[in-house]
Amino acid sequence: MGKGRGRQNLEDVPFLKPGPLGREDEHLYRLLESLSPEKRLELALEFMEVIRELKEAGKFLENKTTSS
Amino acid sequence: MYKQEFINALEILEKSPHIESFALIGKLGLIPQVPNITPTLDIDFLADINSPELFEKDLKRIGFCTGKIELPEGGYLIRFWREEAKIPIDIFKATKNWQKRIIKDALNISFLGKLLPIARKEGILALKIAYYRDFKDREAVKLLLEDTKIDYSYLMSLLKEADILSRFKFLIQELGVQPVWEKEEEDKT
Repeated sequence: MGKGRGRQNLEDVPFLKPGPLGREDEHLYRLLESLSPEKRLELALEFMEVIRELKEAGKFLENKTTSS
Repeated sequence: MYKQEFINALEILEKSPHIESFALIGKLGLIPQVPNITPTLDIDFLADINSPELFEKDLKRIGFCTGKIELPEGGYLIRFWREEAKIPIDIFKATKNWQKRIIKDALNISFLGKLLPIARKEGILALKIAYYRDFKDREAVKLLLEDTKIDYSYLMSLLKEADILSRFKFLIQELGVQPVWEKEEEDKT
């Protein structure tokens, strides 16, 4: 399954050559661009859910800090 | 999709024998600590990896695509993602002592039924200063410099150990911000 799927070096992929955004960001945007609109929507919704969860956890963190 | 990839990454990091310790960094790591931060999709971890080659090999074996990204400032990150999901997880290898200290000082939060170590905001700020990218770090760095709850002495000790104090001073001039602790000092005098 893994054979041939992984890449040793992102520089070997022509579209991943460093652009103005930097190699890592360029690559991230390319990956996201290749998603279908439905998948992108799903991603956005789940992303918002993760952010909500992290914010909730942050409230607890603050309470813990102030009470200690 | 996103949530599941996040949980998968967390489980991989917890279980891998090649990872000594880790902490969530980047803007996601700031979300629980800084109310006004604008989140971005990237999932970034700082990790103490004892064998990056074997870690990458294991990732490939379980079906992940992987890539190694060298950073202009030195060091590198390992990126992995599943072809189907396309959500990349970045593992930044902690090579310096101050970076390992950031992991050691991480705060644990309860997240999606798991314990998630997050780097303290001072640690994330130190990393952002060391690897500053203007187009994406400007807002977060400005917000952190204006954060009244920042632990100034902890931040300074990290910056000194990382030998990036002059870079930090240059950056605050460039950004045109006055760190909140400097304002407080001025107010006192």
